[in-house]
Amino acid sequence: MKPRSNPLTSGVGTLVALGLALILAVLLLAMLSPNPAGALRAFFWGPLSSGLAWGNLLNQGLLLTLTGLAASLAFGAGSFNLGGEGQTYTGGLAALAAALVLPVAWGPGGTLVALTAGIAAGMTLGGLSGWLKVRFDADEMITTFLLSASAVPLVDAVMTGPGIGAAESMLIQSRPAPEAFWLPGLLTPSNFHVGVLVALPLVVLFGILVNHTPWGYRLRLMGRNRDFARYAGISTGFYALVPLALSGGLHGLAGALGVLGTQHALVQGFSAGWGWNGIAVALIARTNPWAVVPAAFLLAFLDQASRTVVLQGQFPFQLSALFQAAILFFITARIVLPRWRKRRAS
Amino acid sequence: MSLVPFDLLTPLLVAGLGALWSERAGVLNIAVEGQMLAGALAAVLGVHFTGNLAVGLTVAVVFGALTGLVLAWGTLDLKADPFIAALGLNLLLPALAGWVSFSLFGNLGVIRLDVAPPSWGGISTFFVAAVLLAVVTHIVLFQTPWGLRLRAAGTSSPLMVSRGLSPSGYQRQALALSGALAALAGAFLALTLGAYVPGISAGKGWIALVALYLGVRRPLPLIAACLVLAWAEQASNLLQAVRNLPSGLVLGLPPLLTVAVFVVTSAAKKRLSRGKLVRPSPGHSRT
Amino acid sequence: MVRIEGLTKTWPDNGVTACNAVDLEIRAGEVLALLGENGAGKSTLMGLLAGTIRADAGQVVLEGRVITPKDRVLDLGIALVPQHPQFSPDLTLWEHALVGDERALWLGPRARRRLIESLSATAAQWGFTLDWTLTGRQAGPLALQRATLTALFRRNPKVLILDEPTAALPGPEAEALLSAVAAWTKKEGTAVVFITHKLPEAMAWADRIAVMRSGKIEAVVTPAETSLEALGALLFPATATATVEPEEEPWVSPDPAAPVVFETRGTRADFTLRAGEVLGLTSLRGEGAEALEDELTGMSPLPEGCLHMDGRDVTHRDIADLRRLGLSYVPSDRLGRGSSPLSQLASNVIPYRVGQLARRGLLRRGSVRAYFHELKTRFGLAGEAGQRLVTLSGGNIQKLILAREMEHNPRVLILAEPSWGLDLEARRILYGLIRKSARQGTAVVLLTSEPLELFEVCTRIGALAGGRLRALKPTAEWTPESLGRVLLGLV
Repeated sequence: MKPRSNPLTSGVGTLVALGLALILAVLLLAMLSPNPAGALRAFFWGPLSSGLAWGNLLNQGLLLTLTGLAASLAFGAGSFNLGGEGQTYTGGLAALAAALVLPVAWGPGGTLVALTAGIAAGMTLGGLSGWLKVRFDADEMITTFLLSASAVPLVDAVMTGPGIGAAESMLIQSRPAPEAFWLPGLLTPSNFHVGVLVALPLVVLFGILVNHTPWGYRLRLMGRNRDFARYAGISTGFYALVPLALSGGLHGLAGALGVLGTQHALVQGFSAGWGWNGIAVALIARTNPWAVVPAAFLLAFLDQASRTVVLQGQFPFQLSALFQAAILFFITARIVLPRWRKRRAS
Repeated sequence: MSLVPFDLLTPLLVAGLGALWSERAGVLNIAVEGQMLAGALAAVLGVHFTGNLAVGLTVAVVFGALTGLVLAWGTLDLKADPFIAALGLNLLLPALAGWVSFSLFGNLGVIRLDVAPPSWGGISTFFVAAVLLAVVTHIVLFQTPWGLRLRAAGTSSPLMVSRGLSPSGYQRQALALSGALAALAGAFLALTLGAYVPGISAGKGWIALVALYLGVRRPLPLIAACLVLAWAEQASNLLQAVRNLPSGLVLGLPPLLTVAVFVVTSAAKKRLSRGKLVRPSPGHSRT
Repeated sequence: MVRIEGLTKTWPDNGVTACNAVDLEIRAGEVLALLGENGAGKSTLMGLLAGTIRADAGQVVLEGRVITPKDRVLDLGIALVPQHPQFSPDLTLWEHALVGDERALWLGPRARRRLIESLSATAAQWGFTLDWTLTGRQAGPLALQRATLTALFRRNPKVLILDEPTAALPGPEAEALLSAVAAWTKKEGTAVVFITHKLPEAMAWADRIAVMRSGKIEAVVTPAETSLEALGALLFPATATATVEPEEEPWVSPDPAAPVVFETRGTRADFTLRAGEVLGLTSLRGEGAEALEDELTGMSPLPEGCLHMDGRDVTHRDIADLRRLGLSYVPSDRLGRGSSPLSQLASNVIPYRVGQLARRGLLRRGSVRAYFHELKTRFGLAGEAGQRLVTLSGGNIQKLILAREMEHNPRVLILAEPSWGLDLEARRILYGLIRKSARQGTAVVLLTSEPLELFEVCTRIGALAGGRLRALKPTAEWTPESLGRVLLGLV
């Protein structure tokens, strides 16, 4: 494959992408909805209008924070992690399996172990791609994607199999995890639960690590100019493998949280699209952990707004796909405004 | 049960050819998955409203080409990263398909057709067309000036420029062609099935990219690669029916296999290129 | 046939005027040799002529018609065959020859055979044969150059520009090529300009010889009017001494008893380097000095022989290890390798210091900026800590890189093309820094393709030609002319 350009985005491109997406949505709502005013109100106000809405918004925002953080760590170090979906799914399976196996008496301790299992599973997948890159020079973009593509059906097979599969259910899913390991819900009956709050300290942790430590400095240098990093004596192997492993681990955590906190079981396909939206968040946040939270909540808001509009019958289509599509399409565009020239110090 | 799984092979091959054209021009089109889906719907709608297979195919091809041009606009004119822009397109097209489906039929369900896929003495015409397309691709790519320029654009833009040519024109054409072929693959898929089913492409677009890589980016080996992958899919279907094995086990194997092949080839490439550094000094063209 | 009038080009990112109001005439039916050392402006001039570079001022007149920026110069009849032409690793040589000028609707097997035959015939005219079925990756630089020559020749150019066409050719083949060149121009009334550093060839085959120095044409003579010695003197004049003012402090000779710090044995360029020495290694373009950069710094493996640092065998170590042992390296590729252009200035100077600057694991922005300011004061750097590196001029970028590499008194300092693109003032500072470094005990290796600058700073000078070190002597035992002669292969 040809070498790729670094898709680090410019500030202008990001604003244009977001602005366009928003304008497009508003236009569509205004033009195609039977009740434009109602549609717009549902869109902008809906996600904030009730405890349930808030709960779902917070849950999704925090999950997107996790996946966005995962994607940012990889991108920031110059690697592409396209295996988010598989890493999330596998993490969910690992957490569920742990929950089914551990003695119920462990209670919250068991929850922690299950979550750790999820992280470990994701880390293994991500780390495997990292190792393949270091050892065999195998492009991580392809290996993360392919490993994820094989993980998803394999997890599907396992989760409906003996010991794990649910006996009777409308959805294809696994047996539920023991209630002792469930993460307490918040703002019920929304999807929100205590577990996702872990995203916030993780943001702080990585924000500090990436921006204020020698380790983070080297990681960012790898993302900016790998040749320079090598020339400066930075261990390119380490900084290729570790970010991918961490990225996978965070995805795995997101999966584990989804299983233990919201669904309390592994539901088929719950992680669909969780890779791409993480990438979208990372691009908006320009791989800076501090910016991941606002970026994630922005996308979460747009997504919840789209759902609300559909739920309230004000508009038949899911706009969230349009948002993500528009953002991804335009965000890496290099739109150079003629007034902005480079100034030179002499 | 035939030895060659024609119906599984055909869409994979056509989509793979679409990806091949874009890859050869240096702008790999990963929106093949979404374009397949869109093409499937376009074809079904075309046949539904006119009863004419040819119309359905044409609509799919035209729409596919349009999406290719959109991608070209984003990549060549807006200078977006081709990979991420294509990801965006991949997210948009299924949603668009859903909206169209809903607007026309009031639901997101299956759209059935009464038309049977054409065949020639038992062999699907679509399959014949796909193989012909592969042969034509080979001839045009390697034995015409246009194909030569396209390959030059894909491997060395500076070479093109040094001969007074502009690579982007050829890349745009390649992307349009790529979109058209991906959509055609979807059309073949839906028309063989006799219906449009939401999510009909089911990852085949991504597998087509894998096939492209396995087929070393050449049209004729691509046929072999697609055959292997189609067999894998057929085997999985068989196992599912006969042994009641979960399909996941067999579906998960082709990507794993591909990773292994990919890693081995990467390692080999790495070994070959070690020590063969030809670095022109950066200052040398400036004196 | 072609008149170059007042062509001027200044490179914006380093302020160097590569071509300074150059006037040159190229006559129909003639072979014009263009001589000059690196940095003289030859390639820039030919780039301006062939339309690959846009001029700041002046014009090119082809057969009475002024060439505008919109013109496709190749279609008008001016073709440039670079020394390292653009190529595609996957396309075959015959495909390279055809791209853009296929003249056929069909390239099937029969047509291909016919094409290869005609290409071979053209090649034979020029005295060489090629395996046209090799891919760009398989063919070497020579084959690529020849394929490009054939390709452009097929377009029946009026002016053919050849950049170092015989650089990699042994005697008889070089002769065959040049005699074909001469015959062609006479027969067709076309013109050929060839850039070379091989004086005997210029004397033997050119109708006129143009000598270029520092962006201007020094002289245009016919072979009859001149001699090898005279040309050598024009290129490396005895009077060409300091391009910068001499330093105030006297140049102190290094201590001959100082320890040996850096040493190569069994390689193409063997030398022994002591602390405090400044060794200059030079060659003309393509004659061997450039490749040393990667080999001496652990960026790529040594093809033969071994490398020792402070007595330790470091032949198979990479740059990370060498840095830990005390090596510093200023690369020729400043933006691609020597810096992170999109990062801030402060980020660019701390890679070796991050460990030390951190307190309890945290890298405080304050300490990073303080360190940057310290360097800024010591070395006179431009810009603010938070500025992005790309906003600096080329000279200032180089200063920053030098500061970063020199500030901790390395054992060994390797500089590759450090003064390329620097103006007089920046060079003065550069040489001053190098001397200071040497005085503090660093062993310095200076790799350059501008031989004359070595007289400014080096204690010993080594000249490479044909890929190997031909002579290594103290600076005092060299003169610009004698150095030039070794480099040109006249000795």
